[in-house]
Amino acid sequence: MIIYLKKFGTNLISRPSGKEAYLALQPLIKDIKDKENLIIDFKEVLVLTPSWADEFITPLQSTFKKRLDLKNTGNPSVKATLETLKKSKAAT
Amino acid sequence: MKKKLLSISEAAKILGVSIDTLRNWEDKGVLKSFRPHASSKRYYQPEHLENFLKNETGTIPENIETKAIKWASGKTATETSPDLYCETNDIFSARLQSLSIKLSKITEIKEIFPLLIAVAGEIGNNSYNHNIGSWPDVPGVFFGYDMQKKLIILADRGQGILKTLKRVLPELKNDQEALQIAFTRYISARAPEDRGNGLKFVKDIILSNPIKLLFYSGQILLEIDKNSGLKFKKNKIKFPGCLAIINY
Repeated sequence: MIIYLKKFGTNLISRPSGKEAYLALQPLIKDIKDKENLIIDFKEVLVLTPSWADEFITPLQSTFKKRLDLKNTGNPSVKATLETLKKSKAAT
Repeated sequence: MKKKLLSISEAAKILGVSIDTLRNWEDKGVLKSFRPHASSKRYYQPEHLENFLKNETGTIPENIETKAIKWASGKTATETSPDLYCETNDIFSARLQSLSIKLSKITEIKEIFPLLIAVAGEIGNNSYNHNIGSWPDVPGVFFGYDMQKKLIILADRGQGILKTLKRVLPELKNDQEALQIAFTRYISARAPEDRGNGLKFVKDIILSNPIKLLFYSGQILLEIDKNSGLKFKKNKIKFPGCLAIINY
């Protein structure tokens, strides 16, 4: 299953909007099969921050682990955010 | 000739936000729509959208730094223009979105504009997240920018970094120690919640891009840039909350 993040907005910045997006995602992924991958596509996302990602990406990483694929992560704020999440995870 | 009214979806496309965001902005009084009759759909006048973008990005008064310093360091908050003050996070988000649209059109900063918005977003949202329910006097942030001087300024009259971090690190002794930890160590000031990445993210971006940050809290100024790294200086003016100046 592919989730296009741009459907949640192109500037993904605050914690409340990340949390809201995560809740809105739940009905969309409830029927995903046990072995199916979840692909998060960052195409056309302009701005991403760790605050937003911490509410949306981090819980998906905990749930889906290796079944979570991140695609089109070339935007500099997306790259920097994913790097921060990685460092934070390694530190805790 | 009068310009054609825009539907809510057309307005959302121009501003780069969702329809729900526009409805939310209307509820909060950030951007009003126009209804020919009480029961009709929402429309937007092109002039209103132009003004909204212009107000958010155009004619910032001179000495914006001085205004921010006075507002953030005064014993009481000086009255400031509504264009520079965001009482709630919703208003801040709307204005940041507006700045994002403007910066995205400047070719020379095409590569770093997402980073500038992300940095400003993290600093501004940090103010709300760490002070919600505990604002000493005036809630919200001062948020201004000057496209000519290439700077973005954010300030709050919150508790400051030392007091915020002392909740989880009571052994902290001074502002410098607190700032050092806030920008370099992964620790949540809202423990047991797993948070606290924002300022580390800000520091990492600035150390690898042509952006400079001056961050004041208490009586310490922290300067960060690619060439000099992190430098702490004692500052004469005391900021009970925080003040950040981003230069690009």
